[in-house]
Amino acid sequence: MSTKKLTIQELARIREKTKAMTVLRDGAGRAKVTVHMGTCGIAAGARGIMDALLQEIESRAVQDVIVTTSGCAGLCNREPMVTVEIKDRPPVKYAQLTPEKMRRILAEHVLEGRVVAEYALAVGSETMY
Amino acid sequence: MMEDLSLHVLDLAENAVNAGATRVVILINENASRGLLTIRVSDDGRGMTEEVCRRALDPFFTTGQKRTGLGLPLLAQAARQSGGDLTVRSTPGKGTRVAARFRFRHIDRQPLTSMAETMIMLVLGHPEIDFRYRHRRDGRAFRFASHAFFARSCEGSAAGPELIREVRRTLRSGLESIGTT
Repeated sequence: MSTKKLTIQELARIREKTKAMTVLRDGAGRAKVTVHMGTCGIAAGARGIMDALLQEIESRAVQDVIVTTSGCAGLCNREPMVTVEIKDRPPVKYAQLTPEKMRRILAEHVLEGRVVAEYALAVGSETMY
Repeated sequence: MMEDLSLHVLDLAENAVNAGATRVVILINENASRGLLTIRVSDDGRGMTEEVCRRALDPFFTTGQKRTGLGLPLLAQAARQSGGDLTVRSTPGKGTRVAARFRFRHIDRQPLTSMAETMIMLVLGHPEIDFRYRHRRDGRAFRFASHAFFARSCEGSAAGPELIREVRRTLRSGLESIGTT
């Protein structure tokens, strides 16, 4: 097997990249919220949902929630959707969201662990892709 | 239907992320004096074959199981209805470049609206991707590189609300400095 020596510049690039990858994720033990940003989700208002989520995280000074995006969840007519995952619990998908609903989901489900059943579409461990 | 062009940019960049890109370059050029608005999104993702690339503008054509296949066709339509065009170039294993041109003052050109919001979502939603963003507006330019930004801003500080605030502030003030949002 051939080996290639890394240069200082390459190591610096890897360091920078790894740091960027982990900076939002390190210590994020409480929950992960995935906003579905397929074409359908974006057209239905997913950007506004993520904006509301980030604003709420900012105003409540929440330090340990991962926010990320993914593609279409396969139910375009129920967008905008998010999936909330809390450690050792099944993921919960929420559908037809508004910024106000998103704020409530963050407060009750993400921060207090109580599923907001009236907005939930499904509970289960299916993968998104 | 996407009502503004910054949403199309978000859609293109999310496509790039889903194609396994590690770097996404977003160029916006608003050139009122030449009457032209151009958007270009390039990535180093897995790219497309010639056949897939040729069909990329066909409505409902998709290589994924859960995708609509409407993102590129909708952007192409938005470009054409304002007297512009859209081109897609791709090389398997090397990446994809989508370029759209719009007549700046065409009555049917969609507004760009909020590139700051689009970039905030991309940068905070995918910290693992290096987003390189350059926005030119009538000779003035704003540049933002996400990994370089993280390396500068996160040294010794915790991630979270402070980082969100700093990303927002940097992108909004940078775009305001060139007269856009």
